[in-house]
Amino acid sequence: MSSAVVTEGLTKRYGRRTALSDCTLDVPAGHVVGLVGPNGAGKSTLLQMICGLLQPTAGRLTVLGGEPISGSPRLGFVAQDTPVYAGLTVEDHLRLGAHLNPSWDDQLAHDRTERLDLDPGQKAGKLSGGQRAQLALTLAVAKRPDLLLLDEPVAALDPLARREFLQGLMEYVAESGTSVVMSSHLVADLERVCDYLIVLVKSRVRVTGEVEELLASHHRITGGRIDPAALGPGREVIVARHTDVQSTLVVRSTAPIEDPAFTVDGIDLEDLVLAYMTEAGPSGRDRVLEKQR
Amino acid sequence: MIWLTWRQFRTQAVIGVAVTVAVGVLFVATRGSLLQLARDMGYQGCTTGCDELADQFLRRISGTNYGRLQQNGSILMFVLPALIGLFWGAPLVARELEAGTHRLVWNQTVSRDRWLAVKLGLIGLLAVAIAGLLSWAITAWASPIDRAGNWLMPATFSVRGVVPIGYAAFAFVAGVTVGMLMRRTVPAMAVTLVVVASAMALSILFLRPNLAAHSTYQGQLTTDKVGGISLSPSDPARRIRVEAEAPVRHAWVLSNDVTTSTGAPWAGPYDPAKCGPNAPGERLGCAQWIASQNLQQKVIYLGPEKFWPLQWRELGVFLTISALLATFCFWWIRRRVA
Amino acid sequence: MIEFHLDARSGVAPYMQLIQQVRHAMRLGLLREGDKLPTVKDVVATIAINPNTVLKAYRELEYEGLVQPRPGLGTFVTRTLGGESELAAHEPLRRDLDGWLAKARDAGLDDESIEALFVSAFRQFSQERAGRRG
Repeated sequence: MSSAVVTEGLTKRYGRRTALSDCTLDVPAGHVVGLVGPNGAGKSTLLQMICGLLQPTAGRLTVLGGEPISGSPRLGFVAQDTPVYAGLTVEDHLRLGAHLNPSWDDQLAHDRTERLDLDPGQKAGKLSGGQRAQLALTLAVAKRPDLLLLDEPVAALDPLARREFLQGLMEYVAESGTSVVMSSHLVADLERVCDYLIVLVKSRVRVTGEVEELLASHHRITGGRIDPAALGPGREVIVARHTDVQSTLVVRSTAPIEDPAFTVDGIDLEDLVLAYMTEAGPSGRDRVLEKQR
Repeated sequence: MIWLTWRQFRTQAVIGVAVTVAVGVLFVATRGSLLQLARDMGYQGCTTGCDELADQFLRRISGTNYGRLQQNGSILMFVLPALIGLFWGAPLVARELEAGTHRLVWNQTVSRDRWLAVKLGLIGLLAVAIAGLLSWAITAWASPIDRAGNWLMPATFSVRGVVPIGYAAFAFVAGVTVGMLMRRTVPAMAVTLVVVASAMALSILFLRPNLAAHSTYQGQLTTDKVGGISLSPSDPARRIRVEAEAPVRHAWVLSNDVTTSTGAPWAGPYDPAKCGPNAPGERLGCAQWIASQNLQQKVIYLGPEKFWPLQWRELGVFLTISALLATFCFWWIRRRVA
Repeated sequence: MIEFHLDARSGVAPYMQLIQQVRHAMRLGLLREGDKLPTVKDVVATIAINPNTVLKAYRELEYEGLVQPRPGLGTFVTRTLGGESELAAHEPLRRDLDGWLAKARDAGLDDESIEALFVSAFRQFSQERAGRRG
């Protein structure tokens, strides 16, 4: 299995502000990868470095086996807020794609816009948020990229538009097998569509892996008050909450935990991400992050 | 990329070409009648007394439609570089950065170099072509007026011949550069305006005078060489300022000194019986008195034959600066922008 | 052709839900031998889930002998479930169940409690089977 993106100690600094810190990743091809983390974690920075819009300050980055290039024919990118040319029509945007991309699939582009009921003569500035996102996605997929990067594509959309966007995206992935890296701070959507996860908090990578494997290896343990260090080897405590009599821990362990003193539960993706986001918080920070349900 | 540049720019291009054609036609159409007037007045094709005929011709022109046309033509050519810099140059990159569309277009299969090269090249070419055509039409139209008058004067020189092409190219590339650095369209327009105006002013003050060898005239200050006289009747020191004229008509005087025979600058005191409101001889009497003071004049000037050499050299300088700015733009856009 | 749906809150893995829905449809007679299952592309276009999830479900169904992929044509059902004959074959199980219900009633459980007890035991049983501790 080849890698879509490989990074080693990747860092991006703006003066004194560090956007991305020492990231080492090996993102497999042929997956839908969820890049999740709170706002300001560095997701946009990472995506923009992959597509060549930003240069790293330090570290190495390999995209599809080579150097990242700005304007690569093999990469599609949908930026945050899905920018489009307000004065150009939908049809103009498709012609833009056709003129600027040798690998442009005009049939696919027009099929998509027809099915999405996008009026070709409509100026892009007058489209709704959902329609703009669909137009931007059409532009990105019709060049038939090997790797598709989406920066919070559904953040500003209403639930119906979000669902339609993801449906269209999954349909494209089903037919083309393209690798996708999609960033979001809403985990609920990612749970349906992603099979690989990267959690990025405060400019650092906290955990990566196949979703199935992550869900199988993380457990929520509830029991009497216990010191996390006393759990024994092979069990990594991600986050721990204590009352005077009870402890609740999120633990990563490859071997199953069969200790009668504890109640061991599985954990869903959202709670897993929240656990890692909490782990990264400053000490004493209240675990007040609510589920996005 | 050519299609995209055209599609994004077509409204501006059409307006630019339409204005150019309209203005150009206007000047070309009236050229014949202006020449006819010059011929009728005896100035065109004169063999003797041309100076006098020239002055008459110029006096005849001013206040008429020809005079207004000449003025408006000059104003247009004066602001044209700034307009190009503001409306064609500054928004080129700034608007993309401001709207975030650079993240859309630079992720198509086009390198930033090619993107910038096509935009700079096509629009820059159009800007230069418009400036060149308009300047040619107006310069050709104004040739009898310019020959009768002083076309080396900074205000006239800057709007004739080929230098407007240099200004237009510079203003365009400077606008693109400023927009690219500032990333915001409206502030970039303001800064571009300042940059273009300063460049044109600095060129007049420091560049243009040094683009050709100066001519110097030194000699006795005679009555006919006394030009402007200024004094204040109420001045107890009775200071007087004399401007000597160049030996050549219609020169661009760069410096002008009136000195005593020892070389010290001379500033009076003037004889109130000869010069001033109470003197009987008026200007001529004062001039004669000044001439009798045994003064020397030193004039540094550029003669009217220097017009075209100065034009081509100034154009060369501005085109070179434009090329350097463009190179900087390519470097910057590859490395710094996201 | 059947249509799938996903219950994001059920705690059951998505691919498992698809498998259950196919089996359920077969038992109800909505899917018979020779019927075509929706293509992966159609499924994900309706419910936005990862195509690999659908592939996994279809593979599992193939492993269980319920469906068969035909290259270029699609995935087709190979058996017919459900109907009286299917359930009739499990008569002993049915009698055991009747006995258990009688015992639960005798123990004083009302309808809701019986159902809750059964559902909770069944859930736990299913999840253990699916490889997740619950």
